[in-house]
Amino acid sequence: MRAGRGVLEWFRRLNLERIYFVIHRLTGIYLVLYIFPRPYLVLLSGSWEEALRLDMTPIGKMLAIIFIFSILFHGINGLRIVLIELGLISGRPLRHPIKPIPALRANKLHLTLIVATIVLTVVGMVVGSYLVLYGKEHLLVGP
Amino acid sequence: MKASTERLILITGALVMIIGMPLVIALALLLGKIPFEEVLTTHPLVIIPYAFVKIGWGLIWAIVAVDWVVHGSHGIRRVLIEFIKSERGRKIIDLVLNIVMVITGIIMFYVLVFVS
Repeated sequence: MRAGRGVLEWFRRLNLERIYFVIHRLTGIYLVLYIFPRPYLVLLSGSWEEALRLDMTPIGKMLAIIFIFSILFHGINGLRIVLIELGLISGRPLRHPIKPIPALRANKLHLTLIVATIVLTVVGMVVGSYLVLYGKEHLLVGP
Repeated sequence: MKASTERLILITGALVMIIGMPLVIALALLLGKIPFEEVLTTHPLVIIPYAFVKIGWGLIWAIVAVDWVVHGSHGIRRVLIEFIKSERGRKIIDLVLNIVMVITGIIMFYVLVFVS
C-alpha cells in the first residue's frame, strides 16, 4: 500500500484477498464510527436505557444491522489475518517439476477460514437482523 | 510510533477481543447470569453491553470495551496515515488520535462501571 494514494489504491488489482481487505477496512471504519460516540451518548443521556432508545428507532435498527454485519465480518476475517500474521496459516510455494512458478499454495485452514468468514457472517447476520427487527427491546435480567 | 509497535498493539488488541468477547459472553451464560432464552430472543444491542452492566459485570466488559477503543484508534490511524504524505501531518494525526483514544477509553470505562 503506497502512502498518499487515497481510497482508489484499495481497489487496484482486485482479487479475493483484496476484496476481503477492502471490506475489512470499511467495516473497521464503520465500527469505529458506530462505537466511539456510544460512551459519550450514555454520558450525556445519563443512563444506558436512555441511550438505547435511539437504537430502537427505524434508523437505529438499520445501523444496528450494519453493525452486526461489520462486527461479524471484521471479527472472523480478523482472526484469519492474525493467524496469517503469526505465521500459523501462511501459504507454501508451489513446486512445479520444470517451471519455477511464483505462487503460493494456500493452507487448508486458510481456505476454510475464507469460506467460514462468508458463511458465518451471512448466518450471523440473518439471525442478528431478525433479533434487531423482532427481538425483545427490554432486558428481563439482573436485580 | 514504530510500525512494528503499532502492529503488536493491533494484533494483541484483536486477540483480546476475539478471545475475550466470546469468553465473557459464554461465562455469563454458563453461570446463569444471563438466561440463554433471553439471549436468543432479545435485540443484540440490549444484551451487549447493557446486560453486563445490569448484572454487575461492567468492569469485566470494560476490559474488552477499552481494548476495543485502543484497537479502533490504531486501526483508524493506519487508514488515515495512508492519505497523508508529510511526516508532520502523520505526527499530528498520531497526537490527535492518541488524545481521542485516551478520552474515549476513560469515558467508556466510566460509563460501563459507574453508570447503570
